[in-house]
Amino acid sequence: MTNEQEILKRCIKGDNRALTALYDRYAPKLLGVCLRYVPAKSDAEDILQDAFIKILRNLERFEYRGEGSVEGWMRRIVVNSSLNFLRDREKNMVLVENMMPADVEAGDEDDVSPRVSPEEIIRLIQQLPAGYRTVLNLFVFEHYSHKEISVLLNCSESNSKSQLLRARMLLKKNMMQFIANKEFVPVYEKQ
Amino acid sequence: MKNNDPFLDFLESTAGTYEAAPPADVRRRHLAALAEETAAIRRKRLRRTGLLLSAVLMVVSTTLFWWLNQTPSMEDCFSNQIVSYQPVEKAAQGAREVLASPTTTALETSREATPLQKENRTFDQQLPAIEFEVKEHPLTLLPVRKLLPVVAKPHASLSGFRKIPAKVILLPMPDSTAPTKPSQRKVMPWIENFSAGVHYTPEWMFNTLDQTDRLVHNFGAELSWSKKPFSVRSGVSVSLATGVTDLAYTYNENLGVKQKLDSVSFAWDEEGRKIVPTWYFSEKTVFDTATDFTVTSVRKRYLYLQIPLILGFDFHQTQRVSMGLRAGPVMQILLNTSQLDANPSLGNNRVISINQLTPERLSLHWQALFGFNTTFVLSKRFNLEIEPHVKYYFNSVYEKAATRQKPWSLEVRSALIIKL
Repeated sequence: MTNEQEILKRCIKGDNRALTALYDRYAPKLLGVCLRYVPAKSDAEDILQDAFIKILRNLERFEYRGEGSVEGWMRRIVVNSSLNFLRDREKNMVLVENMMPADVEAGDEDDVSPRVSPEEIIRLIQQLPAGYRTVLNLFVFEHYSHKEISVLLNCSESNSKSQLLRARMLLKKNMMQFIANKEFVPVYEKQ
Repeated sequence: MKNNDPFLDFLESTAGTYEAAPPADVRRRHLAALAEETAAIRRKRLRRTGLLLSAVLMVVSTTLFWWLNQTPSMEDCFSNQIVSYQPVEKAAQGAREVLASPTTTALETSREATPLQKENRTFDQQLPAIEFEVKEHPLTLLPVRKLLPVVAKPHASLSGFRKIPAKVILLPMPDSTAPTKPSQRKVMPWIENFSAGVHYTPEWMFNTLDQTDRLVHNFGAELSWSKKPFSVRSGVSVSLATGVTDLAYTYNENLGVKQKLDSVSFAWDEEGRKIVPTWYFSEKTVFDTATDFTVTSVRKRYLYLQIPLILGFDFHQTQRVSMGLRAGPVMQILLNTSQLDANPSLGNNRVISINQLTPERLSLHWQALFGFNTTFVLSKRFNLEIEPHVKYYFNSVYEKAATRQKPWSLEVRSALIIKL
């Protein structure tokens, strides 16, 4: 039995210390996921709290399938909570074909990777429109297919593809501008 | 990698592992909320256990009550009876009447003290049969013995000879060892309308994700109240269903173990003419950077608790068979989910994520039941009920709306009913 399993078993029994250990282990990663979907940090914190409550309620039903399975499961709950939040809060997150601003063009294909940190990338992702951001997150980070995204977001598969393409172009353009100006606002001020 | 796009791959590798530790006050707030939720979950579990226990207690107490009513309490009856009788059942509406043939006992002989008793005995010896009309009349003045007043009536054949005055003799209640017919057990009037039973109900579900595993087994205990032609039935049932859950695994393939060069040290050979390198290696597991997908299935068993409230109307009744309609709501609570198959193993591959494609099942849902009941009277106390049902599920059995149409099912309930 791994330590992870032990923590889960104790959480099911209602051990608050185990719950704290579970929170401390996964909260930073899961808050990172929330911040990719929702720009406002207070919203991201609320989503994290809701997600943890859902996790706690469903712990009994979770079946351990080896290392990584807990994180995968918790991550899925956080992603679903974020999507629900966006659906409720951001009614304007309409996935339409012509949502793309006309002046957005693909950035240069130069390699920008070494010059941008993870925190800066998160900040740039947060600046994308909600629809673009959601499709980009689901496709790139959660490995959902366009078919799955279309079901999740209630749109067509081609719509999801075009959203991803435009998100990519806009993100790359913003990234180039950012590298040129180098004005950065921290994603999350650690205390 | 999966994205097949250097830019998206760069995004994933850079920002995919981004972490942001919650500030101390946020952490405190979250942990407080979680502790509160833990307490709520504990209370909910207690409530659920209490519900189950009370249901079990209800069934046990009903059974006990019924069993106690079967055997009348006779502790307060004494063995030396003045008159014992062999009761003869006589159908009567409302009040219970018993005709008794008296036989004298030794105690009676020893107690012939009064002239009236002597006269009675003389008559008894002379007359072969005297009918006694026994009427229930609890005498609270005698705490040790419950006595019944008996009114002696002249035998019909003697009506022409002489008039026998009616006398009252106090008789004790029947001895517990005396043979009594089951039909003469003491039954409270209100409980006559109740009946208990056990049932087994196979159910075939439709409009679920798993079309190969439709059969659900239901069995349980029930209590019903009836005032012909209407009836109300409730109880506790356990429902066992199975289903297949699809899991999508994202993983990196294990390419094996490679020798990783940790360091190299150089030293002169013994002759001091050559520099000899020493290589230090360590083993490292290497995974493919490409992401693979696979979908596996596991079978799960779901244990539900069902609490129905069924209203009935019997439109046809004969001595042997009655037929009627049944309808009502059924509440179903998911008690437990267990996995029947072993966990799928991906060997030494590195699991990145697991997505459960089949949604989880709801912990509570409601159904409406419509059925046609046929009751076969097996004996005075036992009935057999056969009841085909159609059940409509008000909400999906899954947490997400996995199918567009709501589930429905066909089932046949067969129950053995005991009248209390």
